[in-house]
Amino acid sequence: MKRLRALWRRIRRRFAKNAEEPSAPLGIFGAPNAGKSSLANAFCEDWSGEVLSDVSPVPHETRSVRTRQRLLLTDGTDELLVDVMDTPGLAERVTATDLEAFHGLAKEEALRRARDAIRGMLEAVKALERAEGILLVIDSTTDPLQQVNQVIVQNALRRRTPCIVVANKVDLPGADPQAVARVYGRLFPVVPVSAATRVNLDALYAQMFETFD
Amino acid sequence: MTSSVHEFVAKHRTLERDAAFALLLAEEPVKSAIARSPDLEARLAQDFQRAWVAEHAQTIEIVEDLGDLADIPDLEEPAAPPPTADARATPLPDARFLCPGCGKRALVPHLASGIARVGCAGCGFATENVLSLVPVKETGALEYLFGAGWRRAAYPSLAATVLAGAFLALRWMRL
Repeated sequence: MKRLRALWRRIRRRFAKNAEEPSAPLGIFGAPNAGKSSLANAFCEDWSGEVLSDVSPVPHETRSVRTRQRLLLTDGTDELLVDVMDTPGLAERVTATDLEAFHGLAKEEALRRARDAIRGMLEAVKALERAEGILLVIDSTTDPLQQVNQVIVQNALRRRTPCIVVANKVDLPGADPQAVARVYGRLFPVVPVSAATRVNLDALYAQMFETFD
Repeated sequence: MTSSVHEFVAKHRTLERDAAFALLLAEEPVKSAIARSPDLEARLAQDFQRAWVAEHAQTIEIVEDLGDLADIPDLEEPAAPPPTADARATPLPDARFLCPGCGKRALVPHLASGIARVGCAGCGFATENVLSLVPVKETGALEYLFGAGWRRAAYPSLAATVLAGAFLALRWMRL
């Protein structure tokens, strides 16, 4: 499959010499507050010097898909040209009461956030269809078997989309990236990182060159 | 730290219902949120009840004597409630989601009693779990290109194409 994709890219380049080289949509998916926006920001800062999204401890801060187009990642020999999509967190349910009771939002703000969140989640599902590469971000202080993680993994397997599981927040007490590796390690490569403190991002980039090339 | 009522209920499912609810109200962020918004406690009670029922419905009790299974009537599936009209709910302009109920592209996100849902404006199908819309089964080429309900969605255009073809054929044969 990998070889076929590389061959297809070469054919496109050969027949479209004057056209821009096509970039591959790379989606960052996961549960709310898994650290998707922190990871997207780390990428964009490392490879273009810009920040892509706002980050907040309150869930559903990202409520629409944000894309940084044509981000070029290079390690000297390989190149990856990607459109990085930071997507809203996917969840089994969103209720305004939870946002109000557990995250300190006022009632109106909680209602507005819940309404926008469901719209954003639909956008995220659409982005999942479009993505040619998936970074599944899992907060390694939480249960890796959450339904959202399983659904994304199943989707990637069935559609044969290359995927890397990012076990995020390894700097926090209670983080268990090994648990993430035990659950998903036989299906996809698992890379433990801390996007917020920039721990092990180089290993993630190396894995991206291997998986998405 | 707990971040939702469902998560709290799952964590404390072995407690008595009332004890679990009292514990929820005593949690620090919840306590101060209720102090700010007095009607929050009633809404939390509703959500708690829903979550409690859903959580405990998943429990499978092992019964040794099943009795005569033929005596048990089939359960009728309750009709899905129609999505509540919400003035601010707007359809996604490029929504590619086909409703699992009727196959139309009519899924609209909306908010009902503070719970975010996706509902079908055509048939009344509603779900609060967006994850159920993610395809996780093997898909054929046509299904991959046109979505899960492509067959149903394709019938009108297929019929129109056949009719147009028949018309052109008749014209060509000068009949």
